[in-house]
This record gives sequence, C-alpha cells and structure tokens, in this order.
Amino acid sequence: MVVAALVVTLTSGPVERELALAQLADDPRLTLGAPVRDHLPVVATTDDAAAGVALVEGLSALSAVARVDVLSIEFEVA
Amino acid sequence: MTRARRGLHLWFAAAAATGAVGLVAGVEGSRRVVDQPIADTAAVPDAVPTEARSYRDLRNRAFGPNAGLAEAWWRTVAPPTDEAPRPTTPADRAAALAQRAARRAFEGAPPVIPHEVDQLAAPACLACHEHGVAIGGRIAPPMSHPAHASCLQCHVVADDPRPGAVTPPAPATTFVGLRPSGGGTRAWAGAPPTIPHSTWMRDECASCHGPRGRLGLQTPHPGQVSCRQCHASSAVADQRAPVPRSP
Amino acid sequence: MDRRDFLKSTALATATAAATRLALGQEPVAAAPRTTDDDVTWDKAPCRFCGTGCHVQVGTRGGKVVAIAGDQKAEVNKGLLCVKGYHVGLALYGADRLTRPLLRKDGKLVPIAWDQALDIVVDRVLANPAGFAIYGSGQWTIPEGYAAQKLIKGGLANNQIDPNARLCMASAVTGFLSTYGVDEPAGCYDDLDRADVVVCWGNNPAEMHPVLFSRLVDRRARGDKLVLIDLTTRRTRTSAFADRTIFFQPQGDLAIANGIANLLLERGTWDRPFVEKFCNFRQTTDPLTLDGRPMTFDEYRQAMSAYTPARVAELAGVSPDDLSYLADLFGRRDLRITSLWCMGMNQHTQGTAINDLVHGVHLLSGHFGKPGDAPTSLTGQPSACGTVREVGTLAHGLPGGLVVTKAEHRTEAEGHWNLPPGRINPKPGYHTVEMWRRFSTPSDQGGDIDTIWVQVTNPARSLPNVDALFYPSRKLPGKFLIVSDVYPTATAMAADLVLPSAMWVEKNGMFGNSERRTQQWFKMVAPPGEARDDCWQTIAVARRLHDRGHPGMKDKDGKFLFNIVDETDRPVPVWDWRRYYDVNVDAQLFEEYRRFSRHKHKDLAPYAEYVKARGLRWPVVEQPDHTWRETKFRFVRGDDPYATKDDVQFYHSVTKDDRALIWFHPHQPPPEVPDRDYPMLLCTGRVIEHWHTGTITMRIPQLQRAMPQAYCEIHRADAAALGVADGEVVTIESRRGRVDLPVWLDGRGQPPPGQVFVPFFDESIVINLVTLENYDPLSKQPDYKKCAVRIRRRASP
Repeated sequence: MVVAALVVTLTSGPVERELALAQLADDPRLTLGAPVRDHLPVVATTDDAAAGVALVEGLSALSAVARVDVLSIEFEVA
Repeated sequence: MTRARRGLHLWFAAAAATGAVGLVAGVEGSRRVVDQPIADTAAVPDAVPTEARSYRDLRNRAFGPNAGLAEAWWRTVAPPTDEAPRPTTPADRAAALAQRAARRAFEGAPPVIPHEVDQLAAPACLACHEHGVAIGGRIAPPMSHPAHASCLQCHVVADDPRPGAVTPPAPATTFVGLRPSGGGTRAWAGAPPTIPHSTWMRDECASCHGPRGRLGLQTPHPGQVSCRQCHASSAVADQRAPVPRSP
Repeated sequence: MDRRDFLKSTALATATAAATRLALGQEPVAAAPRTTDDDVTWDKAPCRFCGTGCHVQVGTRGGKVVAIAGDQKAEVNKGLLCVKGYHVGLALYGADRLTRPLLRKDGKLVPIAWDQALDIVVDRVLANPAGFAIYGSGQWTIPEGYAAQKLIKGGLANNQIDPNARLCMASAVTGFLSTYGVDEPAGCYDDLDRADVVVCWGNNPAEMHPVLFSRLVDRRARGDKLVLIDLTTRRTRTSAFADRTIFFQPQGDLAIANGIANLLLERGTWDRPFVEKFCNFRQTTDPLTLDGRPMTFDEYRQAMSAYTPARVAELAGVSPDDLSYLADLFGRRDLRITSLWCMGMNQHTQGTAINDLVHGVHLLSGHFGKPGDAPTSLTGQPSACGTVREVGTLAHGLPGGLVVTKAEHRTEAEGHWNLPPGRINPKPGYHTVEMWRRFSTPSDQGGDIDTIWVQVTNPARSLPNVDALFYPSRKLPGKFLIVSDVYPTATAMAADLVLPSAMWVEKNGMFGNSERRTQQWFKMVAPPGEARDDCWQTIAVARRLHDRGHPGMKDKDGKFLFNIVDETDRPVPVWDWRRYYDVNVDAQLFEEYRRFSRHKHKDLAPYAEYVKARGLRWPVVEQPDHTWRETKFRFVRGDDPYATKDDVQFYHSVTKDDRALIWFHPHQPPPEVPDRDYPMLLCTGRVIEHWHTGTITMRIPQLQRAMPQAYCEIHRADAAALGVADGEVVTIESRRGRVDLPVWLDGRGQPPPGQVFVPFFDESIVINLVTLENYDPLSKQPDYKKCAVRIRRRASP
C-alpha cells in the first residue's frame, strides 16, 4: 500500500475545472482537500508504487490539470 | 475555588486513575512481549536477535522488554502522535499569531498566564505544561524551554489574582513590541524554512509547532522530531553573532 | 483512527500546506511585516531594577526599544531573567513620560524652558548654599552619583547629600564596616552554586531576587542536594521551596543568632582554629559606636550563655528543636553554608546589630572564605552598591570608602580632585530622615534645609511616616523642592520644579550590583522630548554656578570642576546639551573616580574593560600581561590578590591585625510593640511584579495587570475575629496615620495571627503614612517592618 501527497494545479477555465473536480472526486483512490485558488490538495492511495506512478501520469494527462506535484510518498509495509 | 479549577481537579483524578490502570496493563503487556509476540508487531519476529525496524516503527512503537509498560505510560501522558495534523489556512496562522501576541509584550517575552494559579505554593505548572494536555477545546501547551523550578518568576497572571477583584484598565503605553515575522526564509521554494526567532528558552519546538500547538503553527510533519536537522536557527537572534557596538 | 487513515490525513495536511503556499506565495502570512533579525540591533545593558544585576540584551529598531532578551553571556543570570527584567524595555514608554521642565505657578505645574529651569536651581543654591541638599538614589548611575557627590562635597562643600539607599542597605554597610573594617560582601553569587545549605534571614528571594533564587533551586533538578532554610515572620513563596520554614516573632532574629552562637559554644562545635587565627571579639558600648569595646572570648561565651534555647523560644518564638537544627548545621565542617538577607535585617532598628550577629555566626563556625561559605547581603537597587556605597554618596562619605571626618581622607580626595587644601568640609551632612525632617521644619525652628534636589527616587512614598517627614514641607514658605524624574511620581507632582530626565538606555551608564560587579552600557535610544541625562543636569547647574562666580566650582588651578576634554585635551562645553555626547562623559568621570578605588583595595579597571565585559567584580587588578582580573572571593588567598598572609586575611581589619570582629549584641525589643489600642504588628514589603514605589512597573501593562493594587494580608483567624471577608476593604491605623485597603486571605503570603503585611508599591495606597520613622542608631536606616496597628472594618465606603 502506497500513500502519496499531491498538489494538483488546475487550469483556470471554470467549466473544465468543474468537470475535472467531479472526475477526481469519483476516483476511489483519491481523497480531495479544500482547493486554495487553483491548487488542490490530493491524497492518492494505491496498492503499489507502480500503480501510483500510473495514477499521477493519468492525472497529468487530464485537460483541466496544469500540473501535478508529488510532495511525499509513504511506502507502507502492511 | 472556582468551578473551572474544580473541574481541573476532577480531570486530574481521572487522569491519575487512567494512569494507574495503564501502568498495570503495561506491566502485563511487557510480559506478553517477551513470551509471545502479538500479531500486529510484525516487525518483531520471534528469535531474531537483532531487530530490523523501520524508522516509523522506531518512532511509533516501544520495543524491548519494557515495551508494554512504556507504551501504556506514554499513552497517558504523551501528546497523541497518532492524531493527524489538521490542514491549516493562512487565517489559522494569523489567528494563532494574534493569540500569541495578546499574551506577550513582544516576541520573546514570557507569556502571561491566562488562568488562575496558586499564588503561594510551589508551582504545579508541570502537571499540565510538561507534556501539554488538551481539555475540551483548551490546550495547555508543553513548555518551550527546559523546566525551571520557579515558574512564577517569569510568568505572571493576566488579571488581578485577588478573588473577585476587578482588574483596572491597563496603563497607557507607547511601547510597540517586536512581533513575529512572516516566517523563516527559504533558499528556494520547497527548501526547509529557517527559524525566524530566537531558540533560547524556545528550544522545544513542539511547544508551538507540535500537535499541541495552535492550529496554524503546527508542523505538517509532526513525526520528524529532530527539527534543527533541517531548520537553521538565527545566529543574531540566538546571541551567537558578533554584535555591533556603539563607539 | 487506523494507521492508513493516519497516513492519509498526514499526507492531506502536507498537500494542503503546499497548495496554500503555491496559491498565496512563499508563506501563508507573507503580508505580515518581517520583523526579526535583520533590522533589530542588540546590545547589552544591566537590568534597571533590583540589585541582582542581571544583564539583558536590548533589541532596538527605529530608535525605539522593541524587545528584551536574557543575556546568555552574563555570569549573573546566564540568559535567564525575571518578569520585571523581561519587561524592563517597557519602562521607557509609559504614556505620561515627563518631556519638559515644569515650574509651579499659582499652584499648578506649567512648562518652562531648560534655561530658565537651570537658572532657578542656581538661584536657589546661591540664595543659601548651606541649605541646599541633593537627595539621590541607588538607581543613579555611577557617573551620575559621582557628579552629584563632587558638586556637593568638592564644590558646595556643605556635605548635604544622602541617598534613598539609606532606607534600604545602610545597616548592611555598618554591619560590614564593624565586622571587617570595610564595606561589601566578601563572597559572591558563585557561592550559590556551591553551598550545601542556604539560610534566608527574613528574606524572600523567590520574589525579590528571583534570578538568584532560580540559580539556587534549579540546582535540585541537576541532582544537587541543597538545603534551603526559610527563617521568616510570614509564609512566602520562598517557604514553598524551603526544606524547613522556621517562623519567628519580628525582632526575634537577634535572639536566634545569639542562640545559635550559644549552642555552638556550648557543644564545642565552633571552629576554634579559624576563630583563634582570624577573629577578635567585641561588644556594644553606650553610646553605640561602630568600633565597640573589646571583650575576651570568655566574656563573649559568658554573654552568649544567656541565650539558651528556652530563652530564644521565649524571645523569638522559635522552638528549641528548630534552634538546635540550625546550630547543628552551622556546627558541621563538612557543609558549606551561605546566608542571604536583604530588607528584613536592614530595615531594622537593630539593623547593625543583627548584621553583625549573622556575620558572627559565620565567623564563629568558620563558614567563611570557602566557595559556598559566605554571609551575603543582597541589595534592592541596581546600583546601591556601585553608586551609594562605592561612590560614597552618603552624608559622611567620599568616593572609594573614604569619609569626610578623617583629615587624611579629605586630603586624599582633595588631591584626586585637585582642590585647594581644606576645601572639603569635615562635618557630615544630614542623613536621610534628618534631612527631610529639617526640610519639613520651618526655617526659624531649626529647619535649616530649604532646598532639596531629588534625583531618581520617590521620597513622597518611600520615606517612612511621610506625613511628618515629607508633606509639611509642601506648605512651608521658603521650602523649595526640585525633582528630576521620568514620570509624574507623587514626589514630582508635589515639587516646585520638575526636570525631565533620560532613563536607562536613553543614556550611557554604569551600575554596581550586590556582588561587587561593576557594569557598563551605552546609550541606545534618544530620550523623549526635552528629557535629559541627570548627569548633564548636575554638570549644567555646576557650570552656571561657575559662571555666576561660585568659587567652589573651580579647582585649585582655576579649572572647572567637571573638566571634560576632547582627545587633544581641550575642554568640551558639555554643559551645552547639544555638545554633551560629543565625548563620552561617563568614561571620563569614571576614569577620574577610579583613582579613589585603590585606597580600600576596591580597585576598578579602566572604563574600556567594562565595555568588553558583562561586568567585573572588584578588586579588578592588572596582571603582568596587562589583562585585568576580577576577584570572586575577597580576603581569600589564591583569589584575592591582596590576601597574601594566610588562607584568610582581613586586610582592612578594625583592629589592624588582619582579624574580623565577632560581636555580641543583646536582644532589644522593637520600639513599638502591640498593645491594647494597637494590637497587631504591621510589616511592609514587596511583590515580584513591582519594584519599589511602582512608578515604573505600574506603567508596564503586564506587571500592572498581574498585581494592580496593594492589599493587606492577615491571618484567617484574625479576619474571622474582625468579621472581615476576603476582599473587604479595611482601615489599618497606627499612631501616625491610616490607610484603607482590601484584605487578601491566603494570597501571596500568610502572616501568622496578630500580624499584617502590606506591600508598599502602590502609590495610591500610602502605607508609609502608617509606618514608624525610628531608625537604627548607627546606620540611621528606618524600620519599615514592625509597628503597632489596629485593623477595623471600614465604617462606610
């Protein structure tokens, strides 16, 4: 199990933004924090590191996402 | 005795009782660790002479023959490190700094005491302020400095200590005290900030920045306890720098 | 919360913090002004309050003091301060600072120009030079006191100068003089780090000398075994830390000291080798003198034998058990014992006697001269030692321990001051109580003091029996009161002329603390408005006297008394305020003053050495390599360079044989004892938050709010008998006056039944209307600690 802290920076367009937020909220692997302006705190929980990397790459590919910063990764044993 | 104080005493009684139970349980626990490792201490496999432990386990779990005792005791007195820091906002931080300032003449002054104290007896401040406690919404922060015996030498109450006395308005002053800066400096975005204040008498960072600190001042990484490994102190604020002298 | 949830919430906090930073710039409160480090300048200064002499670091920015920190390089306090010290920077900023000279016209104080103010002072001097007095202070800096001293003793030659320190440590001085032949403690604060036993004689250092108290009790946390004994008349915060609290009847201290001596003699536990080598015995004479009359050891033993435990129990109310315990401790050679005392032993009609007796107990038991073995008196003002005792700003004193009554001392002083022979008057001036009594007596009835210039003190509140000593002068024609101060104190508001002064780091200064430590600081901020240094005020008045032809203002070569020069030796007109800081006047006055310090082996180093140090303890003696070395333990071979003969050498011995004197003084009852009309005993004192008459600390919000007004402590049983509730306002009345104030039961202290305690810091509750003006016959120090009063419920509010 891997837990990662991310900041997802959204683009400013209101429509794409709402769509992206809805999409992220639906993903069971993601926990969303309260956005601060364009910056959204996100926690990603995946079964292993490879899945985590794939998830971050997937997020970066979304049209309303300007960038994804990975702040920390906890590689838990259990 | 005011109602608030009576409440405190009850709380202490409860804490003491809990402590006693914990102690007994702890002794039991210590035997158990030696005899049969329990399932969730997976990092302590049987019959391995040198334990390989993750840093997280070192931090979060006691080990060795007295592990159970230590854990039980620690649970009664220690800040709950398993409680996650709450996310903070600039408003939290501003409010925390304003609250701090309200109790200090200037940044670095000893804070006044916002509650009654026994004016005559040897101070019992450490009961709450040694490790800090939270009672309801109120937090007794742990001390920022090593213990001195005569607490009331530096800390005085914020209002007339005589029962029922009405504290007159504070005298007018033109003093404008030093206030906390906006924080330390960073060499680059993401670098650990420097410590913006003196660390003299403020070397227990957890006093303000730990889980018992005010929301807004808490560190986002309470697990790291060797603060000054990453955060540099100021030689000027700490009186280590050569001071310019008048002629 | 399980482990995964914990990790997730930690990660979320991290992410939120990062998002916030990304969104709002570097830091969440980036908009707040940056205030630390870069733009604050830090410099050292000794604290302006008590005699402990802590060093603070003063943070200034934009010409204002903005912060205070404990000075980590200071040996006295090692970075720690008390609540007053942490707030000492606020002392400068009370909203009602005096900023212009004020003259009383038609009963009101109105602003005038400095020029006019100085002329008025000079007019008063010239009108009657003999009736002009300066009433100074243990808060004077050393150069300020020295300038006033030189003006009065070397210029006006009327010797009318005395300080408020007469009210706080004169008995300690006479105790040191009569025991060792020279003033000031032999030990120092290092003794507190080493002592096994500390005895507080009527002393509450937990509140009055908090930093020294912490230095002591914090040793326990390091595993040191320290026995703290609280000899006291009421329970205080010090009692809370004491291993043994021994209550005694006020004035019982004399009997206790004698009782200890008696037991040491009776049990043979006194230190025979020490006494035989280093001590002589003395007894009192009638009339009393500082030298007394010799007595043999057998006579001494005989006199002491009257103080049996039973008799001490009767006189002092101390149990034979407690007395025996004290004697046991003093009888042990394996323990180091330090005694501490302050106002309890000094504000005492038998002040000299009790000081002598406590020194005597230490000498008799050999608890002297080893680190941790010391009788040490503490002082209440930052420079009671430096400016009063060392500069000698007392009616009979000259700098360096010289006195006006000795011809060779006058000659020496005239030499240092380059005065014509015979300039210095051999007749001492009036001591404090006498000075004020004469000021408050009509001129045609012997009131021959008609002008007093008060600097840095508040006699309208700190004198005893103020209705007799202070206020009558305010109604007498021809009496003129000049007050230099920083705030409109009760004294300033009663004055005819008020001069606004600079304070503390608004000027250069030097202080001397309780352990012989001389300290220096530089001016860091400008004084407000037209406020100016007291030292400048004195020099400016002297110059005007000079210009108007007063012959005393010139030395024998016709040079001005305060000949301040530049680096080319040309005089600088420092009496012109605009030129005062062209040169360092403090440094020049100090260099002149320090020539006096050799006479009594109180050697001071050059000014520049004090600039570098956090104070140095005299004698400071130059070494072969031209460095300067301070002395921790005086009279002790190996540390004091002047003690060379034996392990201990009392080289200023009264008996000229290098021996100290062990005195016998009998118990004497206090001048006023409770009777049917006035059945209770009043003791006055202090609290940690406030300093002296509160003129500064009551203007500091954190201190004022923590203790906003005076109160009276009585025992619960007395309150019940009087039918008085906690907080109720009562009237305390003596034969001299009365005050109304609220009762506080089991508050900051607990007096035993029959006793009352009132702190004297509150200018609005004048407890010195009630106190007694009786004083010690030798030290002339009044007793504020014992007078008979009655308490009654206030009839109507």
